[in-house]
Amino acid sequence: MRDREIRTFSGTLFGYTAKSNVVLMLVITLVFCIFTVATNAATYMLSTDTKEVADEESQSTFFTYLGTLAVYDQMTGASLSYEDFTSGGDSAAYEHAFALYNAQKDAGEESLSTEDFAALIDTIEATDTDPATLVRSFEYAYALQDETGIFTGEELSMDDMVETLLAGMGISTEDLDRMQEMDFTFMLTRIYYTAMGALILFLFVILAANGLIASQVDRGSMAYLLSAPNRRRAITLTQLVYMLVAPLAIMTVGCLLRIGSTKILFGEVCVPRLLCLYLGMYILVEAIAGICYLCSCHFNESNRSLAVGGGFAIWCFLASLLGMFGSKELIDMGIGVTQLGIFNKLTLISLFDIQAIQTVGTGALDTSFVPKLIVLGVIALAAYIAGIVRFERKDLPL
Amino acid sequence: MTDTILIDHMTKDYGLGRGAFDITLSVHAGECYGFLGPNGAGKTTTIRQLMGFTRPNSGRAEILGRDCWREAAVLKNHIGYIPGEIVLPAGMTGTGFLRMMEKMHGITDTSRTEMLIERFRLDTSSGVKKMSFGMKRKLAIITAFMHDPEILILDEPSSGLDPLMQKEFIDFLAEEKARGKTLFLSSHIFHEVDVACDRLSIIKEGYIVSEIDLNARRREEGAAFDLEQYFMDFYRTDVQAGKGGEAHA
Repeated sequence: MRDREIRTFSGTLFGYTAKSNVVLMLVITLVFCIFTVATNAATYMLSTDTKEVADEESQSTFFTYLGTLAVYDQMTGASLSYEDFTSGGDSAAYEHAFALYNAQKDAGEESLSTEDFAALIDTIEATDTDPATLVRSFEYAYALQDETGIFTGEELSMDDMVETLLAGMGISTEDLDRMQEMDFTFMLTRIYYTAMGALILFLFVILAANGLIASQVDRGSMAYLLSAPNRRRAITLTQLVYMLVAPLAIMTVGCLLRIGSTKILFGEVCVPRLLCLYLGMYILVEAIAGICYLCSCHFNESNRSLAVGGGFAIWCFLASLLGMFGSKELIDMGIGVTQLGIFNKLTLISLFDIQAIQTVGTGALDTSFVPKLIVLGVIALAAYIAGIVRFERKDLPL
Repeated sequence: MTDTILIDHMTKDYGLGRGAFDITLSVHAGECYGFLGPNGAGKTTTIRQLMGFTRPNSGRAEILGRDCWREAAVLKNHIGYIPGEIVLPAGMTGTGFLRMMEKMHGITDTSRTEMLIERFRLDTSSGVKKMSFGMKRKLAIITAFMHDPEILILDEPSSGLDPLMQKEFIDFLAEEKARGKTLFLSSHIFHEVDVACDRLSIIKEGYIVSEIDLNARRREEGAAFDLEQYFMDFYRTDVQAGKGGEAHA
């Protein structure tokens, strides 16, 4: 018994470490969970919030009805209109107008009737298109019908008018198309995994890594751990295990919550893809954790360990945020700045390639994320080993 | 006679003249050895080598024939240590701290810990953060002795204790010595070393300037021997030499 020593792992120390970090861990877990659910809910809302426009066929049929009414009004001096029709106008007059049209229409065209008109209006109202807007649109088109430009002699049309107006404001039709196709769920996903969500976990590893070694050396309480038969390596390895296990626990809770809330919100969930995303995020967090741990092992002053380790993590976060605006996706949307892309080369977070990981579970699997994650894993491993070796050899001011 | 603690030409240089230089001393089994000197003289620097917290630039330090740096962990089974500055792990009660240290030392029988708590009349139920300086000191004393080590390295152990507790502690040290324990005691309090120690070294500005066999002196000079006077003489020469040494009473 007298020559016993703890060489690799101290359960007692692990218990103390876990206990003294429990508040930090709970707070971070809570914030991470709230952020996870909020992001998922926002993604769901964005994906369902696209305006449902009445289909082209109903729009064009609607215009045929309006055209019929307009012609009838001009011919007979009546005042039939969409508004009049919906507010219960004299249906006999409408039937008359439609009958006239039906008599003249080409053989292939559908005949008009008050019942069909009412049904069509119901169909349009069921979408996000307001029939009144279509009426207004018809009025412009009707007014421009057969008109030509006074100078150019070219035919005037609604579409041409809209494009001309926008061009005058410096907006090209391509911009317009892009805006319609903009995928904000991409931004939410990227912010979650590589910026804000990662930041919450970075915060945890920065504080935990510092508290586990540097702060105890700085305060002097490390003297007690070393006045018991604990090898230095036993202390560093025990704390390392905590640095591996605690983020894993937090992210497991977050991952399960994400899978569950996706299932509830979207009805279906691609579990392998989410697992790969969280695994990638875990390896990223461990790379940052390794570097913070190395700083904690290297510096005797807590504030230096925090400044260098934390500073590095915050840098990675900020560079990733700037880099996002230089990413291909945002540039394609027309809101990116190509030059900012350089920041993507200056942050470890870029090695966590969520675009490639999101191909998991689809037909077009892009495995380019695997070697990048291996690089992150190697960085984590190297930093942890360097930390252990450094702590074993250095003088402690205790 | 075997040397329980052996420091052989050990130097730890922190630069700017600070550190401990060419320290050579040996402590025999069952002996109480004093290490006397003012603040900043190099006492704690020397103790750090013994505890394996720092590695000497040159020379060596051994305890029980084992290297203090390489075999630091295993040596802790045999060493009780009271640091000069007591900083306890945050967020624990006294009891929680003692239980943790017991587990780390592999102690299953807590009767000795209980005895020490009673002896030093410590309320261990309060959080270490709320503890007074004296209470923390008592906790450190209990921790140093809980695993009944044969060697005790004590860095100014009784500072911060009230006079009554100081006396209690010195009595306790005498008892432990009588049980055959080896004590290495750094201090700037004369009567602490005077009463308890067999031999002592006086360290000044990183160098051992004198080694005294107190028992021999007592035998030779009897009551006429005054350690405090002897110690102060070293300081006076210091002051006369214009080196700016500070006197401690």
